[in-house]
Amino acid sequence: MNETGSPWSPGRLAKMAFLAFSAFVVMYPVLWVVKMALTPSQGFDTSLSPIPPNPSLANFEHLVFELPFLTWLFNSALVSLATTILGVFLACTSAYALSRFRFPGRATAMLSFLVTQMFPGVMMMIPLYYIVDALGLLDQLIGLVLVYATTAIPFCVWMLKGYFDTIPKELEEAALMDGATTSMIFWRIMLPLSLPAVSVTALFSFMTAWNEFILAAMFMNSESSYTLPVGLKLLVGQFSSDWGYFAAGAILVSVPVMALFFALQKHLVGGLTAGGVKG
Amino acid sequence: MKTRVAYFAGAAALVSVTFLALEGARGTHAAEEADILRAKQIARAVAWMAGENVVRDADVATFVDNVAKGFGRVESIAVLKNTKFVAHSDPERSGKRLDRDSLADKALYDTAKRLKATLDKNEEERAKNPKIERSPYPEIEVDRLESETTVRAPVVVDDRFRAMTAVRMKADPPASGLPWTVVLAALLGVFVFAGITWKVEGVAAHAAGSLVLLAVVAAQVGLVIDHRAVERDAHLALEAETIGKLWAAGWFAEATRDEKSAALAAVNRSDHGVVEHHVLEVRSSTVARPSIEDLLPKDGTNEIRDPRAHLIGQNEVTSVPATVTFASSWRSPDNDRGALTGWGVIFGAFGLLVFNLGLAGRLYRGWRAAVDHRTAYAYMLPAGVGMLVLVFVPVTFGIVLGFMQRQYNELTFIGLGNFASILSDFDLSDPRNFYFTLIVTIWWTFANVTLHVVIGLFFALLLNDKMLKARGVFRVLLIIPWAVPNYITALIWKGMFHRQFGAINFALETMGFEPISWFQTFWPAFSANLATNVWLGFPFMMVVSLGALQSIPSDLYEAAIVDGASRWQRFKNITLPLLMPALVPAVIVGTVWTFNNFNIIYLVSEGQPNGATDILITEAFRWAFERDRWGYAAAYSTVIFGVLLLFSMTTNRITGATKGAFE
Repeated sequence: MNETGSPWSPGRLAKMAFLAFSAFVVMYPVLWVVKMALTPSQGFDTSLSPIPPNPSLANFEHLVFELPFLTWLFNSALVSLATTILGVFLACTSAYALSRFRFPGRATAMLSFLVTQMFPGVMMMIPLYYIVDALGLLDQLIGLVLVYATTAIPFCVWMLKGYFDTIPKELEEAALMDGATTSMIFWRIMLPLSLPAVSVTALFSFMTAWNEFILAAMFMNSESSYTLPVGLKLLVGQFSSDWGYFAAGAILVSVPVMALFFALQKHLVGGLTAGGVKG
Repeated sequence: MKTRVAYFAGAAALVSVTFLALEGARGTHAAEEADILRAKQIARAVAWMAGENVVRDADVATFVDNVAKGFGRVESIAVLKNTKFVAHSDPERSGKRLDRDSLADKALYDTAKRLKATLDKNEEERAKNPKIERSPYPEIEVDRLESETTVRAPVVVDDRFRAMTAVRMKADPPASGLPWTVVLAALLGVFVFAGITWKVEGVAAHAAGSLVLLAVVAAQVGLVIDHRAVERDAHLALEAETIGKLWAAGWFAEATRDEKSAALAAVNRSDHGVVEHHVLEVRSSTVARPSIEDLLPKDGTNEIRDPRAHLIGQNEVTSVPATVTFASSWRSPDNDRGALTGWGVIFGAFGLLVFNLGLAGRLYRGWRAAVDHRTAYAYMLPAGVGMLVLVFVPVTFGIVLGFMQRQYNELTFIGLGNFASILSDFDLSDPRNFYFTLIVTIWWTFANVTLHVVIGLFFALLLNDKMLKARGVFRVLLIIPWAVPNYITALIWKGMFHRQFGAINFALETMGFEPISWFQTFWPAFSANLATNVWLGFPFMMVVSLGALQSIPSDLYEAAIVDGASRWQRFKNITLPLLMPALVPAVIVGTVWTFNNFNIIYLVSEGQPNGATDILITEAFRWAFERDRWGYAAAYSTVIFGVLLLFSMTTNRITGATKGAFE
């Protein structure tokens, strides 16, 4: 709204100073974690300065080589990737049907997708535990993948459907004239054209699986099948709090998510508000 | 008429398959359940032995050793007091402290803390309501894995938690437990039914079909119930055997007869019926042991006279200086098969009524639609099946659970009882009260969303200046909190609010204030939660506002300046109205997210002090998993769902957010 004047006017300099101060305050918790990660002792440090007194990578070393961090990382990566692939596939197919076909039960399906989003997740835990148990998938990564992928469906479907709706039908009609089948239209036209929306869906599914804590803590009972959130929580349990290891782990866990997040955040905002309100 | 017959057949098949699936799922767990029972009995016995002062530590160790040897698949038994193993089946660890570097040991310690907390809560409940007979929250924890079962029980002395017993058992290869009788009945029912209805037509077909369908349902319900009774009896027998062995293993202890009787009473608890043991003979090779006459029951109860009792044989233990021979017997409670079969008939009849009243027609129309729109349905199928099994079924089950009560693994239907007790309690002095939590939740949501919008919009206005240097850098730095996984944010902030070592208290002290115990009183704890959630939540509002601000054409402002509008007037009349379309949906989403924000409350304040900072969703979680009242928790969640649904419907009506979406 303000495009005139010099960038170095007193008003702008004051603004910058204020923003720099705010950014420091906002970043402080992050700096604090970095400091803990680089400080080899396992307690809290007793100074406010965000600069570690004698930085070392000992915590990272211990975390990666002594603790089962790599196992947890592998579990989390596997679960998140599988969830992403499955979630995107499930969401794309049904969003396509909802966007392009008119069939009995369509409105009901959309409404029920929307309503289930409002159901408190806690409530689903007991029944889900029963069902996952009955399917024999407790303590198995595939159980988590199925649960994550399906619980992310309603949101992803609403988001994708909105995007599919904006793709002109003429493209498909032309393809039909040329003798394309429905599946060819889906794979060769719809999906490539909606790549931005599909990538946001993928990011969303990935983040759901990568960050989820409670269900993983409930379903995964043995240490070797923990995902990262459950494992990291264990590090700051009641018996002894290894804040240094936790901080190192927190950084390693956050970096990939943050990278993905920044790569896709422009699309994310639009998707969240459009899809979020509807679903 | 043939088609109608087909629907009857379909319905019968559907019912049968459902029963099969349900019973099959239960059956596969029969072996695991047996393990749990056994591990539970052992844990209780060890806990009792370790708890009573009459037993010396050395005796506990011997007992643990005996039990570990006496049961084939017991991997380890441990008695943990504070951070030390008082007894351990592994001699290397007996008497040693916990290993600080072992994650398994850390988890063990956490469990002990949790058990202690449960015990305290039970004590509290009992003080409040002396009529409670059994402990409202289960004091024994069971962990069932693919390869092993672990049971942990508290050691109680003078009603106080002293130590924890952990028993680990290797799993048996799972036995297939599909009840063949149910399979047979299902098949038979369908065949008989098809045979009858295929021959006759019209009203006769209808009546015959209905009757057979009813018979199929009733027979299956009856058989399932019978199967369960058999299963329960098997469990009882197993429990009796386990208790017998335990008793034998513990017989060597230096104790008087009365103490042994008390021990037996403590160990001799069955979840399934009545178990009795009778000493037949005691032979002791050492002088220090009590004489045989002293140990034998004096009232002549060593004969089993109850005709319903099942004698399962005699146990001997010879690994200790004494040899004890005794008989164990069990008796199942009077069962209620007749009544339950009656229920089966009623359910069946009700099902038939619904079926005849139009379900058949619906099924037919559904089939036609499926054929006509098969491409669309094919695309819906993968997600549809997933949603059905892992979303709709759990949701329905959750709602149904709200009308039930769960006690000792039994679900009973109690109608609207849960809802009534949630909604009719107006005692606002109790932080577990629904209305108290509702007020906290509304206040929590309101404070958060307001701060998110105000701070987010403020930064967006600052950043919306194309001439500002380093604009992109500030923007990225301010978005970072949003990108950090929120459980990590929560744990970080929990550390920052630490009483002794947290950064916040350092900052306060540096500025000359007293440090605060953040989680001891309501407002500081609430503020800690709020600070955490504001930190991670404002960037979303900032990004949304920034996007909207950038799309406002600058000539509007230029025109306003020409007309002499002040800065405030421009903001009020141009910026705000044009922000609304983007901001309103974001506020609605933000409200729902904050309302249901589980992680922050659960990980930062953990509901402290005394559950006062819990919001509805964490409270529901505690009812389910900490207080173990599933039915109540389910009803609670249904109420939360209702509140959210109402909110969404209202906002949807006002803003028209879903308008056009169904096109």
